[in-house]
Amino acid sequence: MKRERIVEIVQFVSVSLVWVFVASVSIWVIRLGIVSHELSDAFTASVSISLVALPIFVILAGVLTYTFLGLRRGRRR
Amino acid sequence: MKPEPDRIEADLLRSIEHTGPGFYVVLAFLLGVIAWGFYAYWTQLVHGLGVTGMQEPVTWGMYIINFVFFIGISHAGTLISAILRLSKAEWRRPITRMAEVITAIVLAIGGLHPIIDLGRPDRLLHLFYNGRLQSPLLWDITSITAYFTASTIYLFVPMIPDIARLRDRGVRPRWLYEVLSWGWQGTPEQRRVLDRAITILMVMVIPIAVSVHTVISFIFAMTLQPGWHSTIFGPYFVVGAIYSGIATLFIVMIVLRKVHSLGGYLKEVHLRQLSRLLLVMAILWSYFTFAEYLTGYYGGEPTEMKIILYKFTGRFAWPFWLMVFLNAFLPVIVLSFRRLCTTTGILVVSIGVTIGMWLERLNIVVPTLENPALSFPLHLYLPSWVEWGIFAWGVAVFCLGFLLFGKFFPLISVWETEEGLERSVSEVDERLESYQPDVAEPSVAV
Amino acid sequence: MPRWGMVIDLDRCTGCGSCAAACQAENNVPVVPKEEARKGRSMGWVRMVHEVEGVFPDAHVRSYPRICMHCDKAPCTYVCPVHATYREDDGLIAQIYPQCIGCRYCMAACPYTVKTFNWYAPQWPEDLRDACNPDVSLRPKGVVEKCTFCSHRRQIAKEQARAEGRPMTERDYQPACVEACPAEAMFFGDLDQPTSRVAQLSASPRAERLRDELGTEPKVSYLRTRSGHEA
Repeated sequence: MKRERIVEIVQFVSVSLVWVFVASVSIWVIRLGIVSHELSDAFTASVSISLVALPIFVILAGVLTYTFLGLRRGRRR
Repeated sequence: MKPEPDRIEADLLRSIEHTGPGFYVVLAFLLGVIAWGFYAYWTQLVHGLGVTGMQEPVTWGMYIINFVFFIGISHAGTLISAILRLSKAEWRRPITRMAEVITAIVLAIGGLHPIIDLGRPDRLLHLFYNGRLQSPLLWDITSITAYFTASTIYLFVPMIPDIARLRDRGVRPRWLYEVLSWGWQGTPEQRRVLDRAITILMVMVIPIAVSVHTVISFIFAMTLQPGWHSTIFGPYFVVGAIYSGIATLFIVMIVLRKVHSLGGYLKEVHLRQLSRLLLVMAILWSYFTFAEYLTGYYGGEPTEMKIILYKFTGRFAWPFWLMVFLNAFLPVIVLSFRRLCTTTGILVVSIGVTIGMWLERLNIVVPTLENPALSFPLHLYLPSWVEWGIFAWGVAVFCLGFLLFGKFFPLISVWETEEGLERSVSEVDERLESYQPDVAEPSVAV
Repeated sequence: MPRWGMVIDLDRCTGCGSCAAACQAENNVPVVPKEEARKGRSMGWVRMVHEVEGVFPDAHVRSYPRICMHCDKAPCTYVCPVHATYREDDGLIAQIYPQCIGCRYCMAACPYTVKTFNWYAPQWPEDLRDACNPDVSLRPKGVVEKCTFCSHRRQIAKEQARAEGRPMTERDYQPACVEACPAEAMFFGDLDQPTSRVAQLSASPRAERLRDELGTEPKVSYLRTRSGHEA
């Protein structure tokens, strides 16, 4: 049983790492948006790129999480 | 003759369960080339970019060419896997796994090349602290990261049932397959979840992939340089990427098919179906190239013409016409005739297209730079050993990626092959039934 | 806020190259070894261009210095990924060496090919090092550099004016090339000041800008020679 617990923990950690990744990308893109606002340097371009890019990353991480949780739920008890 | 289910497993998992001496020989060779590549890069780090063949005015060379080249190949995975899955083409089944692996490896290699090209890679974090989203290079970083994320997930999720198979067979290392199989047991509910996830991913991956190579083309198209500032670049690069992707996929498939004796699964008919796509891409690529050069030539604008003539009859005549031969003439001739369109023929064409598409990127990057609009002392670009070493490193990493992947995971999707045997014929029959005309109710005469 | 620009009178320019030499000395532009120069790696912020036109006996040589145009709509500033090159409020296109990551995109995008790159770390033998200008930084390997309209002199002039409690005028600040020209062919000043020599000359019918049709709005203008040969 112990081995099963370790495997589960590793799986949970690896899935949460995806969210850490998505959070980093989001922070990065938002930071670049802020910098472009401070320097008055095509702020609209930064905003439009953020609006397109961020949802993509969130959805991808969401699909991965959905798969992980869905597979867990669908196991034979 | 249809194989038994156990036979399928045994055949497709053989490469994982048995390691011959050939594996170690190839591994050693590849590691040697990779070590040489690291040495080349180290030389560059210590001395500066002066060790390359670049100078003014050719400030971009092999690294940028290979950047576009490797990322271009990544479109293999999307097209085959996503579009064919979307269109329910049954012949995709043995192909999708290898295609998706190509994408993942090649994106990593390609994505490193702009960093290799930097004069100050130690300042890489500047891109994160205060980059400019207005610059096409940042668009590149964003879209390549998105594509890499999407294609890795899109590679992994359909692998889950196969990983579970390996876990159940007790293949070593057990912990790897236990962790990665995410508790897959093949229950109906799990199948539904997997199906839904794959569907969402395959739809998402296509526009992301199109954006990647469009955005790479924008690096050139957004400048005002003659030969680069062209509106056709976006679609041209996407078409070229898909083209080179399929060609590389062919090379990978034909080699691995031979090495691992997978001829019963990757049959001639699969190759021939894909070769039709290659033919279509060849014609499309030729069309775009023709349109690009005709508009430039007809307009006759001096700075553009200088570069066009440089490619038609000047120093770049041989790379240009070799590219046209390898990308347009050879594929169309060989792939159009059944007699010539054999496995060997397809392999020759694919190698030719891979080389031809590399030449296409060479023909885009260097001639424009060697012909600045304002007079400049002419210096010709010749890559140095450092640049060749790093190119070899890229190719070796690609091969190593496949070698290692094939050692731990099946190169042909086991569960999809089995699903094909069990269900495809009846599913396709049903679909064909639904296309047939219905008997209409007799209409009432007015 | 001034808008600094330059006018070069090609009728007076003799092609002597003093501007290039002065720039090299003023801005610590590295001298590259002979083999590197042969490979096309010589670094010059001011390039003396000598173009031969026609055939003997009707040939003539057109000489002109080509420097960074400090475009008002500079393509190099659009493509830089890290804010290492950008347009300052007074019109100078800055080049920030510690920020540059050496991607050379600005070099590829410049329609005038006026940017140069440190392919190796610059070597400064003892005597050259002693002659370096202390007001200008020495660049490391792997960064792009270009003409800055001697922005350090602008800085010095600004601070001098502030110390004297008066606004800075265009007479306080002149790049080294303009100062060094023996034929007095180069003029520098505020393009937005109607009374300035530069503003008047750049509006003259003889004035033209390189690759004007691109819309980069270069702030360096050339005055055509009176004998009719085009710039």
